[in-house]
Amino acid sequence: MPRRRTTIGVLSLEVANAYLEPILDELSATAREHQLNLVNFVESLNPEDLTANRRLTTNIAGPASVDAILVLPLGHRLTPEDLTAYCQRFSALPVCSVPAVTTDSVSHVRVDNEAGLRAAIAHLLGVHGYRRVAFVCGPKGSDEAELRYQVYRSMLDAHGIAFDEALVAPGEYMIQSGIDAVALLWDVRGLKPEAIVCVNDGTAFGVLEALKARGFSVPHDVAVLGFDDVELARYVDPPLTTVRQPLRELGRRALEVLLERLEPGSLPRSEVLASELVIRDSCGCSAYRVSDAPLSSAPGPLGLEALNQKSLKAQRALISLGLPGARDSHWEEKLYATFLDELSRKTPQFLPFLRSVLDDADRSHGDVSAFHKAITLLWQVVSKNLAPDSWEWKRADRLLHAARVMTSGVAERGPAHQQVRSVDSAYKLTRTNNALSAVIDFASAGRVLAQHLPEHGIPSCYVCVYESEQPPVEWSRLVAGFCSGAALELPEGGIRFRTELVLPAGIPDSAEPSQHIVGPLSRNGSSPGYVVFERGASAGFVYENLLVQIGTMVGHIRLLDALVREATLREAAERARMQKELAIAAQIQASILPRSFAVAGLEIAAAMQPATEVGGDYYDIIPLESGTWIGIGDVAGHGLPTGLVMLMLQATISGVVRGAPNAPPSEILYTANAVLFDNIRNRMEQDEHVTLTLLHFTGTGQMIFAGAHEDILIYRARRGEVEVVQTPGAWLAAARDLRGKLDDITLELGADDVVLLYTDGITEARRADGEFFGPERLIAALAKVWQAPVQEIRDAILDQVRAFMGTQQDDITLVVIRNTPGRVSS
Amino acid sequence: MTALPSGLGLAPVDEGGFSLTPSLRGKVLAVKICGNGDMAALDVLNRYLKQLHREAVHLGAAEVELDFHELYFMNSSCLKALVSFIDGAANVDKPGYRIRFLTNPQLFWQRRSLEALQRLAPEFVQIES
Repeated sequence: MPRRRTTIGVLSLEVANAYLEPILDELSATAREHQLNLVNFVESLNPEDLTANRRLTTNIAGPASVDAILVLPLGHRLTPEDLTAYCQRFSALPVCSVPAVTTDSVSHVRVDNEAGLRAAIAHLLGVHGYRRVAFVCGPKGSDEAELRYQVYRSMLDAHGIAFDEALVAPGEYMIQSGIDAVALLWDVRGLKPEAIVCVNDGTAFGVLEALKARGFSVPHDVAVLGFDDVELARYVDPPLTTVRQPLRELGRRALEVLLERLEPGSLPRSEVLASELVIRDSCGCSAYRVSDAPLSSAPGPLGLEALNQKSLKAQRALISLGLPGARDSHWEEKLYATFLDELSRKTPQFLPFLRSVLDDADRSHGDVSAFHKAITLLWQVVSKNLAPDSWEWKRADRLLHAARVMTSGVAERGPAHQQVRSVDSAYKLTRTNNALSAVIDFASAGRVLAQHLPEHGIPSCYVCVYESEQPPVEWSRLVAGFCSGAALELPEGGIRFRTELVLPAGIPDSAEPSQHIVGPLSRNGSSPGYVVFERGASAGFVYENLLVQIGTMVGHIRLLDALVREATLREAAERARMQKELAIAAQIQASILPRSFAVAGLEIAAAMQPATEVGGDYYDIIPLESGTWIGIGDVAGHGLPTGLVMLMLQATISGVVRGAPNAPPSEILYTANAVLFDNIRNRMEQDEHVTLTLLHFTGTGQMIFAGAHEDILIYRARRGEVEVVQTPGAWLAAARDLRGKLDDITLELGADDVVLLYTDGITEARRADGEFFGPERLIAALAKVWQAPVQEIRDAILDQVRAFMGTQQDDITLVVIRNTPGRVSS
Repeated sequence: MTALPSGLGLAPVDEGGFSLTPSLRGKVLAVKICGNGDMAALDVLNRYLKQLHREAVHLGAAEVELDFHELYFMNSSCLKALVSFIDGAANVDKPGYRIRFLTNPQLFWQRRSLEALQRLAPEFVQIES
């Protein structure tokens, strides 16, 4: 990532967390004020993660990417010793920790939890007089949870209340912890606590829900106390009495302390912020009650003059309420002054000014409903100092009624607005999730992210995967992403970069202060990579949800890649195996072709050229004492099965001919057909058939043949013309018994007559325009070269066919036989 | 979607260079086959001949007429499909329908190939020019 300005790394266990979100929001605002870059590395850590060799997002942070590091809570089970050890990773940089550490070498900004909780429990025990007070714990191993538990025990002791272990329930800081605790205390242990102290607000929300479900009224039946004062604490029913941690102030001060450490010569230091009790309804108080009347109860002089005289007192009382708002601009003084002006029949400024104060409080995430206390206080002043039924009294009554309506309206606006935003976010997330779930490659991932994430206010996003399965992960690849509204155009395999840089050099390319969130693709302690979001206006849960969805998407893409890779490898291996087998089959087929054409009384030349590795054409020359047998045929179909049938055909014919060398060709074919039919139809369960003509050259000038194949061409030397001889009959392996379906035909051959046997690969050879070579061209070719040696006749015809056809579609076989009585060819 | 000829559960097929057009004349189920029966036509022909057999049985056809007048070429793989068709019709549903080929004497391959086909089941297959 570019380092054109100071960059602060923030480590946190998550971004969607009621405790962390106010801190992160304030950090973001403070970083903007100081023109800083902020990179929030997100990972939830367990103690074992720190010692095991795992690929953690927080481990990416370092001198190459940031100038200083702020450590926020990273995991509930981490002890101060664990955190101290983890902070050593970043010893080259200034570090400030918010969770407790056991070293002075890092700065530390924390909240004094103890004082606030002591005040809160003292309130329950002292003001309300509760004696049977239960406690719901936090996770075991959590330093802060243990501290809160110890405060609970010491406060019981201080008030002379015996500790009862049965009133202590385990928990995990979760809403469910509160639900489970109520079930344990009431249903299992049969206890009836008067009050429950919860280790945090989340647990208290669960307790409230479970008590309500059982028909209990809070606080009349049971009082409940929380801890943290997260925003929701104001809106639950009843509003939660809790201990406020100044979370926003914590974020701001932690960053400011860290910035001080960047100054030359500065040293680490610690700072403690106070926590405070926030009284609402759940403890048994009224949220809007002013418990200690700030004004004297003695009646003073009646009239406006009395109100004027008590201005200072009233303003101090307002200040003592500690309400959120523009405190530095003396809003309390102005509020009281405008109130008096209204009663003095001067300018009506009270309500407009109150509205501006309420808006300020709302904008700064303050508790707007707490302003009812100020209105109550003003009413007390009025009721003690103005005559009832006076014009001023009536005017004050109307004004303060209007002020209450206004305060309630503004107080409700916050959660209502938040709810609208949540519903809108949920709708958009559903659409985004649907789109991400359909992504199958990184190229389309970038486009989908570019299309959907801007809807969530996220200006840019980058998906990176680690190169190595095992840490340290020195190299990563940026595989998808978008910025400026468009998907990144990345090379195949993405852009390789050193992981410590977080993103490749020059990405993102902006001179403006930037804020990013870096989260893991999976939370199993060994993520395959991470996502970098440019921080936008979205709530934390949007980033958390997108992390899960993008992580799932990357998982799908990688799984699909792996499957495709495996399938491709398997396919390649299968193809190689097939090629090898085909090569062997072709070799076998070629090896059984006749090798010698030396036959008494005949000159023979032949060639066979399969269209694929293994052909379905057949020819054979079998010289015997009874004469020479020559067969030519074609197995219907293409590929390996036809090649196997061709081998079978060759063996069968060869065997049967040798067993009956003087038999008529038809008899040979009857027997061969019976063998082939049984083998192909019954045993192989295939349906190949064979066109075949079997010829017997008797050595006496006679040629006897049977079987249906292509027409035989004979160049009659004496007449100087080509005779076309049909080959009637049936095909082999197409019927069980061919008896009666074949004819033996006898022809006389003259000296130098040339017999041409061929397969349909020659006559049906096609030119690019679709025209066939045809029998006419073959006849013409024979007539042209018949006088040449048989090898030359063969080659000339084949050359002509090859020159004619575009690509070879079918096997080609040609046998040229010249009748040469009394001669032996070589 | 091509409309089915009236009374027929068999649609015409036109694959560019190869087409099959069925018609029904009383008890004769006729198919005119045109073009080139090469490898590109093989799958179509195989499927169609199976449908043709089912339709002939369904209609109780006395005869299936295959008109080859405009079928210029048929390779050995397509001829193999015809052998399977004849074999199936002759052996499974015997004594079902007869098969009559209408041939074109100008196309020499038809005479050679169809005569061989006829010899397979002469009582069942008839060839006419």
